[in-house]
Amino acid sequence: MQRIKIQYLNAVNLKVLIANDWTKESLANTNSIEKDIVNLFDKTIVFDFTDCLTLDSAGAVEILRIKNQLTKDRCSVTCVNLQEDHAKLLSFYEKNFHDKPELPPKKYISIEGIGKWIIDGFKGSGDFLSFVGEMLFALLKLIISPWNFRFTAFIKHVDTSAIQAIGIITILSFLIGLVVAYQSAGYLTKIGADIFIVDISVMSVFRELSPIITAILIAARSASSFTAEIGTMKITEEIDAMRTMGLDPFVFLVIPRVAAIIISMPFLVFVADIAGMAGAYLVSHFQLGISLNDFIDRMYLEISVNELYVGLGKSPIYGAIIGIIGCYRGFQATGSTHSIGKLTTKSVVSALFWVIICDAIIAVALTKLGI
Amino acid sequence: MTKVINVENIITKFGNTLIHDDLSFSIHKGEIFGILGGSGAGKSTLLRQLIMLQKFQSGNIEVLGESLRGISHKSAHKLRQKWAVLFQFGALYSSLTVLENICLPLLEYTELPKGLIENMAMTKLSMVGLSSESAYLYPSELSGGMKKRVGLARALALDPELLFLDEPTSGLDPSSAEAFDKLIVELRDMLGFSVIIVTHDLDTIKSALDRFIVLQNKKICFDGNYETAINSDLTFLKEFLKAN
Ligand SMILES: Nc1ncnc2c1ncn2[C@@H]1O[C@H](COP(=O)(O)OP(=O)(O)O)[C@@H](O)[C@H]1O
Ligand SMILES: [Mg+2]
Repeated sequence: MQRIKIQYLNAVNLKVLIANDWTKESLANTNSIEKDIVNLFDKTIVFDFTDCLTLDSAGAVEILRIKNQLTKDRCSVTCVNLQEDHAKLLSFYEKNFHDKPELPPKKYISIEGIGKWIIDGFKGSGDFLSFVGEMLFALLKLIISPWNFRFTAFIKHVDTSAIQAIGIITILSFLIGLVVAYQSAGYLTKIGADIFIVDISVMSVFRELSPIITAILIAARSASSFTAEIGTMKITEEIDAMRTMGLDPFVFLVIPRVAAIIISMPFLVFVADIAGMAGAYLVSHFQLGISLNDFIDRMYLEISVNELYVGLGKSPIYGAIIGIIGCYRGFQATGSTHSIGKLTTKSVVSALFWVIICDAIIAVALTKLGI
Repeated sequence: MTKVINVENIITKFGNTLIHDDLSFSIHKGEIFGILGGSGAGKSTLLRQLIMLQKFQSGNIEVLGESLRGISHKSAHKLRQKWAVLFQFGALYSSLTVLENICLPLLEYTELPKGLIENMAMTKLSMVGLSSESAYLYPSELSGGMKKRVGLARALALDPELLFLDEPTSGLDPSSAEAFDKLIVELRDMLGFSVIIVTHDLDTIKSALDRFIVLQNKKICFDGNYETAINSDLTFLKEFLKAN
């Protein structure tokens, strides 16, 4: 069905018949701004609506677009023979007709961009340091007046962050212990050093694997939830409300969370150690026929208890990294709910990044110290 | 007058708690209709039932001639395109700009060319009284009143026959609230849709509503316009209209 018909009355005067339906449905998949009408310059044009049946907002705006284009091409346009409601609608839309404004300038990667990125990086670390500073200040206040410590919140976070994670940590550590032992078993039999399976698996589990597995799981569970919880509170202005009531969000939100993780980490790593050893023992027993007594004797004789202490000792540091980064990212939330998703991702990734960096530094330092 | 909504003997329960006990009313074409009542009276629940977000235990609701009881997926989908809802806080998509928010229903439900859609969106933005400078802002950069206006522009994108508003003026300052009420009336006069408003706002009740019902004690205790309400001898009603 034709919507537009052009009749030349003479060289400059022409009549455009607007006919049939001008709706979202009838205009679907058309070329916007009808082709035949765009190349008219310096004409006097009458839009005749006699045969126009229906008109909705899409139709009205389309007609206005055409009219607009013609006016730009120095034509004069008048509309005649409109039904009363169409006239009302058209003039209402005409009053409000607007083109899309210019896009604000896009940010390209440029020298300026690189500089900005670096400066933002510095600013970011500055923000982080001031966050840690504020936290230490809150801690100091708590040391002076320990009765302000939010014990209930602390217990709640120990429960959600640590106790509820025990199951998954046990299962994963058990499997990791099992896999490490299983992988080494083949080689060790080849060189007839079966019993070394105890040294290898126990050492790697105690020193490295348990703390790292635990840190990964806690980062995934708690860094993310800290960021999401605090971020939501930030957006809903709960944190501002706290501040105006003179309640320090660091005392109420940050310290209980960070403390809960720091204190729970060694216990979780210990659980992971036991589970990992159980896995290793299972393989030693069934694959290499080492009895429980032999396994335990070997551990007592050959493996220094330092292995255990190193693993347990570094875990609170990981806990601190995870807790602090989780809370810090939460405080960065601004404006929209959209930012929380991004920040949650960032918090888990950067928590793990710094845990592993820290692990490497500790490994080098301990080797130098000969521990 | 044609009825756009007809509600018959609605009973709503949450578990064992009765929320609505046998409500019946109807809404006419072109009307600005109010659902009033104290907090917890079940206004939002009723609104959610009208727009198929919530079930009712017995009775029937007819919207634009379609019965909502046992409605097929297909007709439900069609019906949803004929109405629009403005939620209390605008419910704008926070990852999209103002312009993209308004374009979204048009891009999803029509096959119109992009340029036309953008022009339509800009026109609707201007209709709700916002300047074109706000087109590229994100919802987090808007004030509460602006969010509601953008929400309204998005609601108007598909030329709805019915417009549902849940407490549109709550959280706005009196002059923005008044302007918003005026805008609704003006748009209704121009575009001829019917409006269903849940509200407490006395100014809205006075200046915008053609007719309203008042929910109290799980029932409809009044159905009529402001004049009748003020002159009626229901003391509760007078108190309600004064207290709010
Ligand atoms: N999903 C739900 N489950 C149980 N009770 C609900 C639910 N939604 C609302 N209610 C109850 O129904 C009543 C009416 O709620 P609502 O319709 O939100 O009231 P209002 O009139 O303030 O909008 C309230 O008492 C509320 O507690
Ligand atoms: Mg409500």
